[in-house]
Amino acid sequence: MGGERRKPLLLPERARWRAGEERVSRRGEVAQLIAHADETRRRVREARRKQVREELARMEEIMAPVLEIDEATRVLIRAHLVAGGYHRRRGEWRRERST
Amino acid sequence: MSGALELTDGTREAIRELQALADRAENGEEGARSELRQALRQSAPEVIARCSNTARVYRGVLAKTASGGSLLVEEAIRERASLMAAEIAGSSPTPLEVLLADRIASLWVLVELQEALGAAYYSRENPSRADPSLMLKMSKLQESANTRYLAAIRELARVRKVQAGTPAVQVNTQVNILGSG
Repeated sequence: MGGERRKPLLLPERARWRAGEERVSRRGEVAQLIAHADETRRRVREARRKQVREELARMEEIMAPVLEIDEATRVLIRAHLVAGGYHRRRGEWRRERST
Repeated sequence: MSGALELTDGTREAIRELQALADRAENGEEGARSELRQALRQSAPEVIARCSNTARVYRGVLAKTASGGSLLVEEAIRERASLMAAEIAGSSPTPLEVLLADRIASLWVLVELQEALGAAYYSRENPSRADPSLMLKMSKLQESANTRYLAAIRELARVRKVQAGTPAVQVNTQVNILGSG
């Protein structure tokens, strides 16, 4: 029929389930094709994961010095304020009455 | 990353010491506050200068990365960030204000860089579009940088308010409209 598409008789997963992993890896042309497809999928997934890891590592490397300075500044501000007689109350800096 | 761009071990040690002293002083330990003042007098000017300097140098590195190899864009970002830092610091700023202004400008460049990278990832014209999980993680990093950037602006305002010694002012305005009838 012109526009009609038939479903494949045996989906790869189903074929794998039927044949069992060992037999799939050893027997027949279809089994070899399925094994090859599996291997390709695994490689693509691994490559993607590697790309994600590398990109994130690169970004973290770019960010690290800025974040270090950010933290250092935070410590310096706090030290200055505490030395100047301020204390934090509910996130707000207030001058202590005794100082 | 080049070691020359990072803080030195001595600076890190001084910062750790200041943090420990501030903790002790905030916990009300006797004598800790005067010890902190002394430590600040001794080490703060150098530590602040080093942090400011590192922030300035590093802005150049970020600008280079964000420019994607275009010298004109790199110079534009660098110059814009310097102008921004100078404008935020204002006239006759304290060293701490200079450092805070440098920190804001550096975080601004970082946010800009991440936005540029994000736009490249999402672009339809990018033949090797990034993995969705990478985009998700990148957007989280972008959000974290943005939060820090906004927090740095708030902190500068807070420090200025505290340094000026002005109490919080609440202004209530009442407008009475009298009817003609």
